Amino acid sequence: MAVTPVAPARPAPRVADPDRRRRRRSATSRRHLTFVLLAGPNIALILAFIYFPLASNVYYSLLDWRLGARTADVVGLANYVELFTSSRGFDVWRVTLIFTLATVVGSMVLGLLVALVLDRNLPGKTFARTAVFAPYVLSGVGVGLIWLFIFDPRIGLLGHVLRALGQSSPNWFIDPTLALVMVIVVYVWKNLGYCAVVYLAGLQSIPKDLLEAAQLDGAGPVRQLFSVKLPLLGPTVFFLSVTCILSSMQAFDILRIMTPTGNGTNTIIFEIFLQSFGAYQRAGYSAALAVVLFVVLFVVTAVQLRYVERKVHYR
Amino acid sequence: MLTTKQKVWWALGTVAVLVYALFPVAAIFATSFKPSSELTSGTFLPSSPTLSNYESILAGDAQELFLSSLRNSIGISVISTVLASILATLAAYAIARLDFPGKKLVLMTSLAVSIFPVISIVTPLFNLWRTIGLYDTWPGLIIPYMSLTLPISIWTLTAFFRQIPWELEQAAQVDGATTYQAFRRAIVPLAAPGVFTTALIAFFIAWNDFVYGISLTSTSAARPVPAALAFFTGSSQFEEPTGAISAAAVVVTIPVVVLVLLFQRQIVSGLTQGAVKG
Repeated sequence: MAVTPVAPARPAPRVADPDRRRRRRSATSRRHLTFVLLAGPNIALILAFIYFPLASNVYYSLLDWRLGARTADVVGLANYVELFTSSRGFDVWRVTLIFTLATVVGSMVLGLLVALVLDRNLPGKTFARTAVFAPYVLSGVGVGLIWLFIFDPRIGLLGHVLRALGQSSPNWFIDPTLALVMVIVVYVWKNLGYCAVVYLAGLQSIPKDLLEAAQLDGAGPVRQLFSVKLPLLGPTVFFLSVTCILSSMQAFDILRIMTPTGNGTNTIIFEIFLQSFGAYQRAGYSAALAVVLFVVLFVVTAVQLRYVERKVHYR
Repeated sequence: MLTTKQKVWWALGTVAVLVYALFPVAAIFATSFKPSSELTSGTFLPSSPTLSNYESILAGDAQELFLSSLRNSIGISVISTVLASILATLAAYAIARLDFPGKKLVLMTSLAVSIFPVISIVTPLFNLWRTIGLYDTWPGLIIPYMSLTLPISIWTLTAFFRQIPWELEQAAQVDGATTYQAFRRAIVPLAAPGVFTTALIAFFIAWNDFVYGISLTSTSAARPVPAALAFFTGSSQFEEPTGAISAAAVVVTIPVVVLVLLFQRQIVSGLTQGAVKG
C-alpha cells in the first residue's frame, strides 16, 4: 500500500487528536519500511559487491602480493612511488594520455561531421543513423576480432589494398607505435556512433527559425555551422568530452583482443589487468594503479558536475 | 530548400558514412562464409561460399569451446537481466514515489558507481570468489553483472517513473477500480516501455562483458562467449582457426545487431538520456 500523500480535503482540526497522530506516525513508518524493503536489496548488492571490493582495493594497494598467494608483505606507498617514478610507469601515463586524447578528439570531430551529414531529411535517414550507432553497442571483443581480420598483414583486407597499390603491409602487431595507432582507429570507429547520436539530438534542438534567419542573411552552410550551430552545441560538446574521456580511459576489450600482452598499448586500465592477471600477478601494484585511476575519473566527473551546474542553466 | 547539387553532395556523404559504418561488419560476415583455402585470396566475397565455419563451431571441432560458452552467455545474461530489472524497478518505484530521509543518498550511492573503473573491482572479487567458492560458477558472474547494471537501471528508471502521471491511479480508483486493477490498467502500460528499455541496456552490458568473463572463470563451466573468443585466439598461435573465429564473431554480434535494428529508438533514448539537457 504505497500511495503518495494527498493534501487533506478538509483542513485538519486544531485540536490534537492522539489517535489520528498515532495513525499518521504508523503510516510514515510503514512507508519507510516499504522503502527499505523495495530499495534495500539493491543497496545491499551495490555495497557488498562494488563498494566493499573498492575499499579492499585500497588496502591491497599497500601490499607486495602475488595474486592468489596466502601471504603478503606490507610495503606502504612503494607501489604508488613505482607508478610515478619507474620508466614503465611513465610509459603507462604516456600511452594513456595519447590514447585518451586521440580517441576523444577523433570520435568527437568525426562524430560531428557524421551528425552534420545525417541531420537532413533524406530517405534512408533512420537506417543510416542505426548503422552508425550499431558499433557502439557491439561487443568490444567482436569489434576487436572484426578489425584483426582487416589489419592482419597476411589475410587482412588492408594488406591487400596496400599490395594492390604497390606497398607492403606494415606489421601492425609488432611495431608498438603502429599497434597504438591501430587500437586508436578501432576505438574511434566503435565510439563515433555514440557521439554522432548525441550531436544529432543537440542539432535537432536548435530552433529552425535561427537557421532560417541566418540563411536569409546570406550565411552559407559553413558560416551557419560556425556562427549558429557550434555555439548552441556548447553544452553537448562539453557533455560529450566528459563522457568520452571517462569511457576512453576505461577502454579494455579492444586492447586486450588486438594486442593480448600489451605492446605499446598499455593504457592504465590495460596495465591494471596485465599486472594482476597477466604474467606478473602483482596484485598489489595493480591495486595501486586502480586507486590512482579511480581518483582521476573522480576528478574528471567532479569538474563536470561543477561546470554543468554553473553553465547549463542559461537555457 | 536544398538545390539538386547540394542534395547529391549530402547523399554522397550519407553513402560514405554508411560504408564507413557497415563495411567492417560486412567484411567479417563475408569472411565467415569462406572456405579455409580462400582466406588469403583477397577477394571481398567468397567465390565458393560454405557453411563449414559455422559447422565447426556448432557441430564440429570447435563446438566444445563454443557451444558451452554460448549456453553460459545466454543463461547468465538472461538471468542477470531479469533479476536486475525486477530489483531496479522496485527500487526506482520506491525512490520516485515514497518519502524517505536518506533517499538522495541512496540515489547518489548508485549513481557514483557509474564512474568507478570496473576493472578495479575484479581483483578483490577474484579473491572473494576463490574464498567462498563462487569462482568459475554462474552465480559468480550473475552477481557482478547485477551489481554492474543495477545502478544505471535504477537511475534511468527513476527518471522515467517520475514522469508518469500517477494521479491516473487515483482517477481509476475513483472510477471504481480496485488498487490492483488501478495499478495494472493505468500504471503498468505507462511504465512498461521504461522497464523494457532498461532491461535491453542491462542485457547488452551483461552480453558484451569481457573483463569479468575472462577474470572470474577458468573452464567451460561458466566462461561466456567473449572470454571464449579470446581463448580461441590465444591458444591457437600455430594453427589459427581463422574461419571459426569469424563465424563465432558473427554469432556473438548478431543478437545485438538484431536488437538494435528492432529497438533503435528506445536504445538511443535510454543511452543518451540527459545528454542535451546536461
